[in-house]
Amino acid sequence: MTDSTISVDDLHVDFSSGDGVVHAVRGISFSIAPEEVLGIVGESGSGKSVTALAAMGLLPKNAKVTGSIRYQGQELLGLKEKQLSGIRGKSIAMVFQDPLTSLNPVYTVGWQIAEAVRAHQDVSKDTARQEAIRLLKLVGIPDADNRVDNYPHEFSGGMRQRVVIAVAMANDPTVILADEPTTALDVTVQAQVLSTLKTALDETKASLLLITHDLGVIAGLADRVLVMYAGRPVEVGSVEQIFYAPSMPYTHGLLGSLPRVDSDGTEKLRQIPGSPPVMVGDRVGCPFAPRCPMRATICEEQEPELRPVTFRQPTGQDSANGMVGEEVQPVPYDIPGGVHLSACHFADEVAAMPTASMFPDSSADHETVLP
Amino acid sequence: MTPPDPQTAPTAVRPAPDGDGSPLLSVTDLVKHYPKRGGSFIKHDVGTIHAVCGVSFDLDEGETLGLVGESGCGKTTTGRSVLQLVSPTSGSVRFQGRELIGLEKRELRRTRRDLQIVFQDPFGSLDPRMPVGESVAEPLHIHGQWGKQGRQRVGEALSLVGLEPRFATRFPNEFSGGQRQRIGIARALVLNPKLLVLDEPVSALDVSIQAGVVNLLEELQQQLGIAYLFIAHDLSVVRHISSRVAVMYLGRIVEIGTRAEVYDRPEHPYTQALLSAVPVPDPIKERSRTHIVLEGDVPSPEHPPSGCRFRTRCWKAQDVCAEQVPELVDRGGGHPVACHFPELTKVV
Amino acid sequence: MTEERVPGIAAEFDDRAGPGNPGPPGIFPHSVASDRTAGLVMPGPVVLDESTAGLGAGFDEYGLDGGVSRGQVATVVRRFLRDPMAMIGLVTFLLLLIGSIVVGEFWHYSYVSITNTLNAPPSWAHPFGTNSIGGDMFAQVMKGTLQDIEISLLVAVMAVVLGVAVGAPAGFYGGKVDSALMRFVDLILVIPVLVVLIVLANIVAKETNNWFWLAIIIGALSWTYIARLVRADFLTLRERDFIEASRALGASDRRLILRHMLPNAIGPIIVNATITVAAAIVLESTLSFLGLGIQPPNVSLGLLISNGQDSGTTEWWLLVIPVIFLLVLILAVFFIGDGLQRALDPKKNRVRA
Repeated sequence: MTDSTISVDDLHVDFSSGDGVVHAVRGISFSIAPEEVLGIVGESGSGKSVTALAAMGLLPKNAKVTGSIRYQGQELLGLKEKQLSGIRGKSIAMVFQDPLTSLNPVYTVGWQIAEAVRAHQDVSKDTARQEAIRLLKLVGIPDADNRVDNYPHEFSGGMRQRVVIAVAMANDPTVILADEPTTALDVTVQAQVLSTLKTALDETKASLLLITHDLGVIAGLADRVLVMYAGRPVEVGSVEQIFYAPSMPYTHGLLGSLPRVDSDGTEKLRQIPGSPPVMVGDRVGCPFAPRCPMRATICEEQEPELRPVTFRQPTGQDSANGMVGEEVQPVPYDIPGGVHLSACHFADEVAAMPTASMFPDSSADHETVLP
Repeated sequence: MTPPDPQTAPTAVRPAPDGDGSPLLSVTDLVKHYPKRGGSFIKHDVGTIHAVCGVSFDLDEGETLGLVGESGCGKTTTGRSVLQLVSPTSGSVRFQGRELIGLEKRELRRTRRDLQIVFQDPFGSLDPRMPVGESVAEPLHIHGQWGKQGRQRVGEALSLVGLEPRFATRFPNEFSGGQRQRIGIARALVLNPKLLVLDEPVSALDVSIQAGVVNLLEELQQQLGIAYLFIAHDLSVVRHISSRVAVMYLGRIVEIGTRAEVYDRPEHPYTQALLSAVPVPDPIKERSRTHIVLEGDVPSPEHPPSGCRFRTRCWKAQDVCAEQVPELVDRGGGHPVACHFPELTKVV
Repeated sequence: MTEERVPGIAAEFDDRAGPGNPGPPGIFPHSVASDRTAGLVMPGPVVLDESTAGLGAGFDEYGLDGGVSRGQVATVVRRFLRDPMAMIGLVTFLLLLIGSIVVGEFWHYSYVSITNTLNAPPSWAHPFGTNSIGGDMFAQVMKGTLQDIEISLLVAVMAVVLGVAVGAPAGFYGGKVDSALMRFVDLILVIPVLVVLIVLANIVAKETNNWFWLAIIIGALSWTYIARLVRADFLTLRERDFIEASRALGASDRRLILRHMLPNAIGPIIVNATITVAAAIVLESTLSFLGLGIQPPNVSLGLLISNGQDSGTTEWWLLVIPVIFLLVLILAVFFIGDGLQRALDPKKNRVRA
């Protein structure tokens, strides 16, 4: 862990609300190595954005954060705002869904980029401006020599996001934190922004923490993936492990529910019954159990720990413990330095199952309505 | 327009076409321009937004036409124009053989029984003050079909979309987004329409919920034989549910064909760029694909480029592209494409 | 144009994913129903546990967004009844109303009675004393209160009816209709209300001495605020998807306004109606105080105050008691209005993080 850029340990985030305590994040730990891309994937309510905001100290006052977030060994939680803002935006660059939150509307983009440049290098205003133009060209802004003097609102959404990335590059960050950077964008614009992001990573050699719900984006960029559900990670692994050998039913379900642009469209989509839980109050057992086709008694009593996956071929069924099977070696798709972890009592069996056999392909609505 | 290919549309049961074989919906040269009003004291027209500029397509009974494109391409306006929710500037919309544009109000209202819409926003498309049963019953009340069977029909509609009829007394806020969308579908179905216009029906839903609603729409089509005009920007969903697809850019259709033709054998550079930009959830495949990255922004619909509107971002653009508007015709590839230099390239 | 949005919990807790505009957080569940079926491995029709995710843009946990409908009336009423301030207001108001009616019927003096006891301080025979000509103050104060209530309620009804009649079409149709109607409203607003009232009321009072016409005049000049309110509400509601959905179904304009838009706009209208009641009381009292409103032998609290103002130091009951009643009446109405507002939209009082 000593050579990791960012290291999060047992992070918990609670919000007090009118109806009780909301456990938004319930113990997430991960680390990002230098030049690595970690993708955090999850749907609404999974806690993924809250994790990112916690790292940056951007949560509202009623949030209670415990645990540890270290940047290059330095503890970020509990830092004074002044110290935090010295790191935030500079060593840890941020790209949000809405570019206007990162850009200052009253300064030209050229000015903003040049400022960032001059904060790191002792250069003249002219040199900084030239660097700003170079960066704008690098991120693909047409007519950069003139547009360097435009204001953020004079750019379209996709262009603005690229400007944000240019500013980030000027800061020469060690980590880029991107929270749903392309969610609100059209698909061709998304392609532009993602390509820009790749350029930024090449230029700055930074690591990337990419938070999104879009599995396609993850597939294209991430080295490792962390799947979040109900406030904690339920599967962690290399990108290939997650996509080709998912070992947690939720991951199976997510992958099976995606229509793909390269399929011939004749297969039915697999639906995960029910809806994600709201994490208010304390609960027992695995939060995914109500929706899980592999559910057994143990799942309702005990929340599974995140533990390494060994691959088992299923050989039968035990009514108390669910599936049983025998071990398979070696672990597929492993990458050096990474371990495939899963929070499921039957991770090993699940890993060996093809996605299509697990979830129903019906159209019935399995979500409850309140009494 | 090219007749749909039965081989590529196994999920849509095709009821026998009406006697004269004419399509259920026939849109010809549909145009919608919005005047842009400005001026500080006295409002006057300062420009025109060319939202839809000459769109033509047909839709047969029981089939699904996917209308795809990015923001500002005019697909939503097209959908609204077909329904006469906005009055088109010019063109023709023939539904069941009858011209809708300029139709007298009462006749138009009667046509609405057969032509319905499902909106994008599950949170806003239901009246928060009304129990959902009443929302679903509203079409029956409006068209005087409530009668004795009314309550029963509401219950049936709710069951059809997978919800228990006893929930009819609940209010919209008691349901999740996916369920509200189902209620919206129930409302659209209660009068047994022939054509359903679906405007981004699943974009606002979580991915795992989308699957259920998409499956529902497919099943309903099989059971009831309804035709869908499926408007969306998500190409993966469109591929899944449509039998034919039309790609729009800046108010015009640039390519139209069966699902297999458009996705596997695209000829228009914009279609190719669009398809190559969609990320595929498959790491090895995604990283080995070529991704076409377009330059620049979409031009403003106020000042669309002359000739071919895509030419400002097209890598093949030449002089003729600025001078001549390419017609949407079959140029040898098997399906109509609006490009002077079409070239079949598989990108997914 | 992307709107101002601080990335926050909002993005996390609502049901949406993908391009679009996430709504505010929906992290307030109802009860958590627990109805699990253990041991099922294969998917089938399963009854599931879990609380709601269905709370989103614009709705509080009771789904009230400034409007009210049949099933939700119960919720609003329940909330109102639990609100101490609102209940104090309501009870006080009802006491005043019922009390004044009862007194008018059953008290052995009426408000026009003359007795031989002049300027008597409060006693058992005359709980509020008598005035300089021997009139029983108890009867008069109660009659005055009743009069004020009658006038103000009529004014409020007028204001709502006129306000909706003008504001609804303006907001719904927009365009030329809106411009025309709003110019009309502006015209009314420009008129110095008090001056006109004084003149008109004077004429009416002298000619007919009928409180009904006084109320009509006040009402005719009090509806503009509600009209603007309704117009603004309708303008926003018009854009909502469910209105377009109903239109797509073939709903007529009348149906849209009456069955969809009004119920959704009724909240602020009701609240403003109560404010109008209070304002009418004040206005009428002012007029009567100046001698331009209610004329003798009819009484109103304002008139009584006017009569008693010189006796403040000597016959205190002639001034103090009507003043107290006036204040209590106005405050009661305010409390009711405030309580209604909170009952309709409790979120307004929460401090959002």
